[in-house]
Amino acid sequence: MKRTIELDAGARDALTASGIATMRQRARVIQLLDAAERVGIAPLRAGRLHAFAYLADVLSPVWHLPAFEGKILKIEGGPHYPELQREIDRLVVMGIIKVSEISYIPRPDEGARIDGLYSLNLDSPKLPGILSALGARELVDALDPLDAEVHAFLVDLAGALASVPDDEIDTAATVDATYADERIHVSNVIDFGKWTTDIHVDNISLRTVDRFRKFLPEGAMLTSGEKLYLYASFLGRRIHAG
Amino acid sequence: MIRLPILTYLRVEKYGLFPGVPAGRGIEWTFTKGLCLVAGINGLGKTTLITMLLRIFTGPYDLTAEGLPERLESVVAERPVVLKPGSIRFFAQRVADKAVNAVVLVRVRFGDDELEISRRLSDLRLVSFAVNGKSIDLGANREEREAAFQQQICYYFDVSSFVDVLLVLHHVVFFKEDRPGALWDENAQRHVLRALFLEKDLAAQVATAERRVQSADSQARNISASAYTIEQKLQQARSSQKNASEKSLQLAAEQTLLDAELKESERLDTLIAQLDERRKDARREYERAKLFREEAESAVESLKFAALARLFPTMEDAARLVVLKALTTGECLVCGADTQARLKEVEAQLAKGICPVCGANPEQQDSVVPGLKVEEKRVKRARDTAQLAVKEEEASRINYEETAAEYGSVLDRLGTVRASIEERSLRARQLSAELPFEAGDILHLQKSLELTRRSQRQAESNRASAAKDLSALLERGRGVIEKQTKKLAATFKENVKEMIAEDAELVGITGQAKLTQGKETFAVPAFRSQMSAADRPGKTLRNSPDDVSESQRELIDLAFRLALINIATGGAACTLTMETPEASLDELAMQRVGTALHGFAAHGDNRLIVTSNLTNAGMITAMFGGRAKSAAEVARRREHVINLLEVAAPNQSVLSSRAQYQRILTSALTGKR
Repeated sequence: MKRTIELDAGARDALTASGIATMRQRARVIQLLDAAERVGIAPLRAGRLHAFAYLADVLSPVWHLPAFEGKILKIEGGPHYPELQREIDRLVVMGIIKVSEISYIPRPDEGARIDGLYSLNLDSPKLPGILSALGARELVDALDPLDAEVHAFLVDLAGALASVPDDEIDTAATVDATYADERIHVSNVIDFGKWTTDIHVDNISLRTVDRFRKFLPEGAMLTSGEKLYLYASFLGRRIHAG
Repeated sequence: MIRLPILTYLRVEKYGLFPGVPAGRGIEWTFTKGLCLVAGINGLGKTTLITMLLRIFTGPYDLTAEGLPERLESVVAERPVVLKPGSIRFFAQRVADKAVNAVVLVRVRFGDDELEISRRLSDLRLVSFAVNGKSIDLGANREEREAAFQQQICYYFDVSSFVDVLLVLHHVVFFKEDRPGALWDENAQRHVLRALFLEKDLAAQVATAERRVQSADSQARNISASAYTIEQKLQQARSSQKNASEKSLQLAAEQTLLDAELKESERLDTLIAQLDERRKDARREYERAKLFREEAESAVESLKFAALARLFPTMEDAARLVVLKALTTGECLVCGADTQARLKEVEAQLAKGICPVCGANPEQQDSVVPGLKVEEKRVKRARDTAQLAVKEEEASRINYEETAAEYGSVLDRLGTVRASIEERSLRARQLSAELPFEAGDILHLQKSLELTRRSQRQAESNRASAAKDLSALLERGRGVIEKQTKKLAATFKENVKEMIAEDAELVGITGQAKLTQGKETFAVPAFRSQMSAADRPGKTLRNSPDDVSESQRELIDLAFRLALINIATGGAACTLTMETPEASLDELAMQRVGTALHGFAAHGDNRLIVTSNLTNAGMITAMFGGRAKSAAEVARRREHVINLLEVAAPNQSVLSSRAQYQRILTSALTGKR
């Protein structure tokens, strides 16, 4: 049955382009942290959360899902999204996310970056409703069925990443085939799905995942979930290969 | 690995501009390791002497008939080009006897081998060529002799062609003051990187494939132009048909509109390609600005955080975060309002140890340590940077959104035009099919057009095949050059920090080589400089010489050359020749650059040949390593000076003020003013 949503004045005001972008980011953070919670890798340090967000973005085509950002600025130290961090901070203040062990990490040119341990605040009365609306509970409760699919993908990916030792999840993003592509230098944008004409050319992680098929016996198939687990184990080997 | 020349000896005989001491002896000079200063005022022949050193290698040939062009073409010629007569007679025109008996002889080392080359100065003809003291017979015919000589030189430089030797000489070894270096000329940079870093066979294959692509493109375009002409004639023939039916008039009208739309579509295609590059640049700058803004604001936060942690040790992290964000950006995380006034208020409360959340005084608080002021100077500096970063982010956001919107609007327009072309073509075909039987000349033109279109398709297929071959070769070369990126960047940084005050670095990017007139480009590795500036936070890319000052342009280029020399030769020694490095520098910059050049000259077996017109004694002193500590040291320095005030034919300025100029030189050598 189709559900209709009545918007109050505040909600209508939020539906500007920037308002929608903000809501998208917040929903993504909540979905990521819920997935981490389900596979037991929460709480996540800021670096790990951004690494997870990046891997979720670059690997979404494995599940035939659209990329969330489709691009990232390549920087020393691994993926980081300023917009995502801004919404993480806001969600902390709203009581949806818990943070502890806040500290600041020095960055080049006398800059700094916030760090902390982030997880969902399961005591928040608002959280169950939000998670249901985002497809993180029952499919029928999701405002958009695609969100439920995205959530399932994130849980699967988090599960795959859980096979990588805790302190190596952020390193896994830096050795990811797309992020580590030597043709794109630091301080340049890696575009793997935003303005690309052929995702199979520019998303090298997807190409790598597709190549796993070659090692299977004839007729055998890999599920999308198995592909993620194989890719996570490939990243684990890459970390130790230096 | 490439070898670069080490000049060891020079002799100039019977050339009127350099009579020598005593008169008639000419110039005889042994280049020992370190600095060789060619000192003299304007008109004494500094540029002439440096040009002799260049022409001993090139002979009467160069990259173009005029010598090195201001900017290189996208494709280099297969063979060197004969210089125009005026350039060949460059030395002859400067002396009364037309240099009829003048000869220049140079000895130069490549690794363990020493070559001796001599040329006539009247026409640059090769007089003799010897390797390790043994004369080499290059044949009797002048052109054959030069060709054989060029082959030998390629062998000693260890590059694939004499054109590559010329590229390396102009863009690495000889630093003339009137030419921008390879860092500022994307074509020159691509060719130089190819010549320096690719294995010889691959370097030659890439250059050949580039020429093939350009030639195939040119052929395809010529045939396309012929087809267009025939098409026009066909249209004229059709329209001039007497008693043309209404259908043919309609067809002519459709054809006219179709032609206009095809032209528009071609224009929009080109525009889209340009806008695509612009929007990518704008996006990169915006992404960097966002990150820099966040890091700059977090730097302010981190300072406040330390103070808050001391003031309120038991404050919860979430509450601390609210206060921090409000203190840093003025933004309230609870409601999203921008409250600059509250920011000041909270800061004032904190300075007095008042709780910013409940407003309790220190005496009412259970867990308070004595109020500590945040380190104001550091916070102010960090906040100034953050404010600049916010402005930078906003400016780059606007630029990004405008560029992206422009791209979108042109793309929409292109879509509309393409749809219209498709529709109109269909209509034209239908009208054409409905026309009555054509006259003989129209039939002939139609057949001719059909044949030409077939040739055009073949030529386009050749072009596509050449482009595919080139892409594959470039891909092979790309990895080789990109492997050098880190080393080049590190060496560049080391060099440039001594020369300019701004924080500069070399970054590798993916450049787009445009070899044809169409929109097609080829991805190639390229380097750009990135530098801080007075009015902007962080570092920004400097893409063209116009993005930096004149002196920065030359010094960044110098640092790039030194990095190329170091990495391409694996740290082997070489000779760098530089014309009046002080030309565009202020006093302090001259000191810095002089010291940096001294560093190069003092390293290993390097030789640095520098001309100076004595306008800045301080730079000369710095190039020699600072003030001389003894008379013996001054005497040693004199042994490193080709003093044109003595060995060149004197002009009026020298005749009337020789003693004063000599004093300036002495003061420069001693370092005493």
